[in-house]
Amino acid sequence: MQFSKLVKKKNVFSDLASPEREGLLREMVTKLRENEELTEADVEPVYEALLERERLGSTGIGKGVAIPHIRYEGVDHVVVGVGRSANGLDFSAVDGEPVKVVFLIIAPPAKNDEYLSALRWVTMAARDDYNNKLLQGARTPTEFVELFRDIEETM
Amino acid sequence: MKDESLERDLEIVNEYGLHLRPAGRFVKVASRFASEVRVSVDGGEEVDGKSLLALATQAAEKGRTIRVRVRGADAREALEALTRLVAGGFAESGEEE
Repeated sequence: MQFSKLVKKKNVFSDLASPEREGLLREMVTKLRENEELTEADVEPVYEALLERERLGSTGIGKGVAIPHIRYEGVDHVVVGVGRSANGLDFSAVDGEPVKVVFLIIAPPAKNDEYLSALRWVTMAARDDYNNKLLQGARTPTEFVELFRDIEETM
Repeated sequence: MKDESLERDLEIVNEYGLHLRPAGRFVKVASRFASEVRVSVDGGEEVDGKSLLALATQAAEKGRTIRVRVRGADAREALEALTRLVAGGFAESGEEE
């Protein structure tokens, strides 16, 4: 799986400031808009859908990683934003641990296989103690994208 | 009751496959039972069916088959409940997908 190809360096937001989940999702959606991954008309529906998904159950999958995600008709390819919260934040994660690395995924319904593939990739990376430690330790967009390529080589 | 070890291959029938929410439901049902629940896809790594993070690594597309292996005193009941869940497309209180 070439997950790293889905992640553009400019869409790695390594210094997110929000201390809580809703604000962090808002921050990431705003930045994806600034990077023209989303149109102005997409911003609210995407944000609302992400919140709705979290209400159904936190996407904080444990070990400091969350995967907020939605299926959304308004994009024609899988959009991935990577966020880093330096101090970690409460995401109501399944293990109760603070979340430091967030993979926000917006997938068109027709690209569901790519979404599942990304889900496998992220959870495999998060579950592996060694790779997880590297994920938690990455600080800059460059470090993240290089790490993604490194992780891919071990899969 | 005596421990039993059972396994069954279950086809993923819901449109969007074994994505995160279905995996969460699987974990919830599996966790109701004392039996150990292990899941694998296509002869790959077998993971803990009671861990969301582990199960999500096996996110299988519609049409693929997952092998569910259960072991314990309530293995039969666990396998029946999980079979119903997967065969029913992971539906929860009438919700789609």
